[in-house]
Amino acid sequence: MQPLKNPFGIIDPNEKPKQIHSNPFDIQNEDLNETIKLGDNVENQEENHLLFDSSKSQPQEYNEDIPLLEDLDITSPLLIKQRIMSVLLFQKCDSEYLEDPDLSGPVLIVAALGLLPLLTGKVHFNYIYGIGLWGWMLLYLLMNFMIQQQGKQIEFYKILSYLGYGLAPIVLLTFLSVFLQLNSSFGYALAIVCAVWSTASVSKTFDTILALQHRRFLIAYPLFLFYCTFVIITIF
Amino acid sequence: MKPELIPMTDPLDFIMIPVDQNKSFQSRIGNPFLEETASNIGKKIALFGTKYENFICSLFSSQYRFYFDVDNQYILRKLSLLHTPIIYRGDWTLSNETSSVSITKNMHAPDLYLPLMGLVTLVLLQCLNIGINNAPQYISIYMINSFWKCLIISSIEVALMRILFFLFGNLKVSIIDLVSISNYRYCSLTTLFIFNLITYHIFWTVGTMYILLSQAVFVYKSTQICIEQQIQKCENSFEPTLALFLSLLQVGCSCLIFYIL
Repeated sequence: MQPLKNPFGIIDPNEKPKQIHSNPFDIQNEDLNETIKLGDNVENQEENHLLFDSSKSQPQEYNEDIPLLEDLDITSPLLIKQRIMSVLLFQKCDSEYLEDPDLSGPVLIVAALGLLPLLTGKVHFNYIYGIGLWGWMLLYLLMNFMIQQQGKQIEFYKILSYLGYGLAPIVLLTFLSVFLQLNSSFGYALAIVCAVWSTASVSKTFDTILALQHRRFLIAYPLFLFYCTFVIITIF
Repeated sequence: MKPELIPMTDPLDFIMIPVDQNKSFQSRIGNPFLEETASNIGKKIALFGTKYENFICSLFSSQYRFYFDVDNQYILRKLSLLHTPIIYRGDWTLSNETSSVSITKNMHAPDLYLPLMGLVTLVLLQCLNIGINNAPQYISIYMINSFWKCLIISSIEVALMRILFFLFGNLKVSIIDLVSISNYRYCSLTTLFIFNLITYHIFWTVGTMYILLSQAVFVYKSTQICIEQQIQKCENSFEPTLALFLSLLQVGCSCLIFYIL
C-alpha cells in the first residue's frame, strides 16, 4: 500500500490509511469495533459512551488550527469595532489598547474620511492626508516636549493610533454631509459638537496614559484645533 | 503486476529541510559582491535606527523642552500680560533663580506653546470666516497658504531681529527666544479678530490700534530683558534704540500679516 503523506511532506510509515465509509455520517469506533450508522437509535448506546466519552473519542488527525488572522496577530474586525465604539460612547479604554494600539482601525477610518467626500463631489485626499500628517508630527513633538519633564515618552505610532480612532466622530459628520447641507447654522453646530466629541474622547485617552495633572486643557486644545481642521475641510 | 510507485515530490518540502547554520550567508546567495553590498546596506540601516533613537531621546531631553513646560497658570498670566502690558505694574525682569529651572515659575520666560497655538487658531478662524462669507471651495488652499505665509514672515522678522542684535553691540541672543517673543503677536491678532467679529467691525480702528500698541510695548519690554541678560556690567546706550527698532519691526510685520490674511 502506498504510504500516506501529509501536506508538510512528512511520511509516517505507521500511519494508517484513511478508511472511506460507505456513509460519511457514520461514526466509527475502533476501540469497541462498532459502527453507529446514520439513523441508529443512539439512546441505547449511551451506556457504552460511544458518543459522549471524550477519553475514547477518535483522535483527530490534525491539530485544531487557530484562525489565520489570529495566528498572524492581525486585529480582528470585532476589536476595531470595539475600539471605535469606545471612542464614540466615551467608554473606558481597555489596557490592551493603551499598551499596544493598532493602526488597522485608523487606516480604515482615514480611508473612509477620504472616500466619503467623493460622494459629494469633493476630492480632498491630499488635504486630509497632508494636514493629518503634519498635524500628527506637530502633536508628536508637542506631546513629547510637554511630558518630558515627567520622564515619559510616547511613541510615534501610538499617537497616530489614538488620533486615528478619534476621527470616528468626524467620519460620522462626513457621512451626514452626504445627505445634509452642512454649510448652515445647524451644520456649524453639528461640526462643533463632533470636534468637541473627538477632542474629549482622545484627551481622555491621553490623560489616562500621561497622567497630566495641570495640563489636561493644554493637551486638549491642540487636539481640538487638529480636529477642527478636518471639520472645516468637511463642511466647506 | 505491482503498480509502480511514483515518487511524489512535495513542493513544500523545503520547509522541513534543516538549514545548515554553519553555512555563511554569502555562500548561500551566490554573487559575493552583491552579498557584501546587501550586508553593508543592512548594517547601515541598523545603525541608522540606533542613531534615530538616540537623536529622538536627545531632542526631547534638550533645552527645547523648557519652552513647552507650561501649565494653566502660566498661560493665563501670559495672556493677560500680552493683552495688557501697558497697565502691568509688575517687574519686567527674568529672575536668575528660576530662569534655568522652569518657565512656569517665571511669567516673563519665553515659551513656544502660546505662539504655536496662536498661529494655528488665527489661521483656522480666518478659514472659518472665509468659508462662511466668501469662497468655501478654496478654503483648503487658503489654509495652507496662510500658514506658510505667516511662517515666512515670522522667519524674516526673526532674521532681521538677529541682524539688529548683531549690529547693536554684537549681542548674542538665542534664536528660539526671538522666535518666541516675536510670535506672541498671533495671540493678540486672534483676540483682535474675535473682537472684530463680535463687534461687527464697529470698533475695528480702536481695537487694532490698541492691539498693535500692546504688541509694541510687550516686544519693547521683552527685548530689554534679552539685552540686560547679555550686558551685565556696562551700560549700553543703544539699548532703548534697539528695543524701539524691534518693537516697530513687530508692528510692521503684524500689519503685513493682517493685510495678507
